[in-house]
Amino acid sequence: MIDLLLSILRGLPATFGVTVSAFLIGAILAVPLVLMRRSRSILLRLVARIYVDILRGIPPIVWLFIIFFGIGNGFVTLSAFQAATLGLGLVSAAYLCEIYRGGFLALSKSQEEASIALGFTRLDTLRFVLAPQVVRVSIPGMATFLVSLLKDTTVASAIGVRDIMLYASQEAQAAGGGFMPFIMAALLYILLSIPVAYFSRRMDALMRRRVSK
Amino acid sequence: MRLTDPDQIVRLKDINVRYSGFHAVKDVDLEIKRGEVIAIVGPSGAGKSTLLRTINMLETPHSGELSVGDFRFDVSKTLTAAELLKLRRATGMVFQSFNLFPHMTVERNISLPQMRVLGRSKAEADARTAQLLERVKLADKAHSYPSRLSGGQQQRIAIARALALDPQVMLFDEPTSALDPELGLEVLAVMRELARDGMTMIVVTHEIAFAAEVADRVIVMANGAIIEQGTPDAVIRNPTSERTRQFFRAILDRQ
Repeated sequence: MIDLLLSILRGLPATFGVTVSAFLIGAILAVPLVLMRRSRSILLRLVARIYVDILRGIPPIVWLFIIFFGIGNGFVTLSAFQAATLGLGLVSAAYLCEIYRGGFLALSKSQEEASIALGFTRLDTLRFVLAPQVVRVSIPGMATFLVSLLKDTTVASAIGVRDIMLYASQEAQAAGGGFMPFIMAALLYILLSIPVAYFSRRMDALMRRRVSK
Repeated sequence: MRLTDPDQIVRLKDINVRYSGFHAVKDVDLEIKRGEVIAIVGPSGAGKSTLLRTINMLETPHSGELSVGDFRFDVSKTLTAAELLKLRRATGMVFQSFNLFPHMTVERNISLPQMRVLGRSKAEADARTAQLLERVKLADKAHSYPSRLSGGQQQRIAIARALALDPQVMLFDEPTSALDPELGLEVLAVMRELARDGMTMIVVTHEIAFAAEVADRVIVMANGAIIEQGTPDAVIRNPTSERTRQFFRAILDRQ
């Protein structure tokens, strides 16, 4: 039992690594993406829109295969970990872009109007007035997405990333079936997701206390 | 090109604003002198707010000429970002819904625009902020967040925020309409004091008593046009047009 747990725990760094790296890539890449989505230029809006629609439309596992066996074998060599991180990061950017966009839509138009009337530049309006408020309203959505991303990283095992799922499958095969390894994997994923949910609730409560109407 | 009369600070000439299929402001001409207090009244949908918002180009007119301070713009051409910035620095605006920044303290609400728009240092900006908070009698609220304040207090903060940028003219868009009568009074008191200090003010309002007492000139709008203007006495007590008479009767009968 302990042996089994220790064996599966070897996958923790990869699961954790893919989740955090992909989330960071997505969170950063989603910023220019959402600005394009809100741009005055039709072309920029269209490009961002197409990106979001495509990346959300492809199942993550298909997308990882494309990156790992397609791009990974062609121009550059990518390790399984790199391919999984990049692939899921690009998908995350699409989802997080939409979460940020929801945040912008939740803000009343009057905040932007007040900034314009004060003589703020567009950049200052974004930086000092809109972005801080968008971040605040986006936190719950981002946390929910992070938990779902954590679970989605299991597809990385399909291209050989040595994550919790991969070790659990190996143990199950070695034991000639049996579902204990998967139960253990399930518990591990739950344990990992609890702190995220807790942190998100704390942040949300904190922000609400400050700026509540 | 400068304004011909040095006393003149705002001039609108043949201003037209159209929304899709709706002519909101029709051929409006308006000249305002330095230090003058103008009250714009009229039924809702008359184009009062739209007209006010064209003065700092929050609303883009379809055609016409606009002069504020030393700047003169032909609004049928697209203004550059620099021109718009100049215009907005010359004007201060107070909105019906206050529009303070909810994630900043009162002090930062007033100081940040000074730092970003006028390039004042934090120390200079905060000093000016303290002085203005004193003036609107909210010095003790510097470190509160707007959500902790009453509507009347928020609106006084919003006035201080606009004044901090030393505008040449202040625009008020129904500043007391979102407030219950008592809270409205404290806002009107601040505005009255501002008028006494010689600030040029254009106020869209339903507060006829305030208009009668403080305004130098009352302008009545209906259907996108100015239908009557003059001293409060003349316009409110002896209106010439039937439409104006009907409007004031509706308001005065209520009180």
